[in-house]
Amino acid sequence: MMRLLLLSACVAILSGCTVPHSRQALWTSHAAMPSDEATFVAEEDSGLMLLGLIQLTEPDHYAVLTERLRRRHRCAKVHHAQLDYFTDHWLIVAFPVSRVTAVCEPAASEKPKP
Amino acid sequence: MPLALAAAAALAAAPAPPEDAAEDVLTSSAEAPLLPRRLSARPTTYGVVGVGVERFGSNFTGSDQFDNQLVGLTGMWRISAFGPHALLMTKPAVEHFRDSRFLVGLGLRGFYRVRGFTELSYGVGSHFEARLEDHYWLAYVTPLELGATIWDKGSWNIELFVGARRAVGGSLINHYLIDPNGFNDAEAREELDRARHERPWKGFVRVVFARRID
Repeated sequence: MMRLLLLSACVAILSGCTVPHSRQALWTSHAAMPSDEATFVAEEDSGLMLLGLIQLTEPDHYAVLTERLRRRHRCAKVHHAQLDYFTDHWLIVAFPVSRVTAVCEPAASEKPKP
Repeated sequence: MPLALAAAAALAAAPAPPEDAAEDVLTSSAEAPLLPRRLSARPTTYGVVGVGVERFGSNFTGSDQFDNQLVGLTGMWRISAFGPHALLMTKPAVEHFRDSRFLVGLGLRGFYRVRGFTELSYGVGSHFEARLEDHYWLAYVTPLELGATIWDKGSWNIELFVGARRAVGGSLINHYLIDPNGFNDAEAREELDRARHERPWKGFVRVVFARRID
């Protein structure tokens, strides 16, 4: 029984891992510096793969993620966007994930009053 | 001369280009969305696929707890507030295939979002379990499955389900690969009768690590 328990734990640990693929800056120079109220926010979407080999669905386009991020966090401006792409492996399924992380300048109505 | 003055006045009145005019396309403002809403809105129908661990049995105490642990895959097609779902789980027996268990099921859940807190669900379903280790199969109905999202971040969420199933059918599995000692084993038949008639209700607790797929 103990052997089975240890074997199951090993299988779970070995099958559950994250493989990063890329990290890209979606930003060019000459951007204005964010204000003091700016915060980091993120938005992600997942696809689905079988056995880490057969891709069934892909994550959304980065523009969709950025727009969702802007709407959800009510950002007046989005600065320094970064795109991460990685795959979470769990047993026989894997999830390719796109994540956009950016600095969010809150809309004027969201700024705290002095 | 008047023309030159007018041109100079027009140039002076024109707004100066902003300092950050060279920002890339990703820099946007609330007044200028990056995409139209129809392209960026979250769909109301999407899939949720996850890995589940389930404790399924009639004994929740005692020393033999590992015997009732199942692991497997879950999938749900979320349509607005409803979610038809499927389940495929097993208790793998690495050394002896005939000691393993397999559970498959189909069901339907309804969801209720408690704003700012979590999402709750109520579900019903039917399941089929092949208990090779006990030499029989059982069919269940699940009239009660309560669920809650206990962690939610990005496309990740962790869901907890508790519920009860009732055995409504079953029979011995008479196959030489599973029961090499002979068909219609008396001990297996007694155990099947107990599972079907004496202890037909079984509880379950399931934790699902899932991702939203849209």
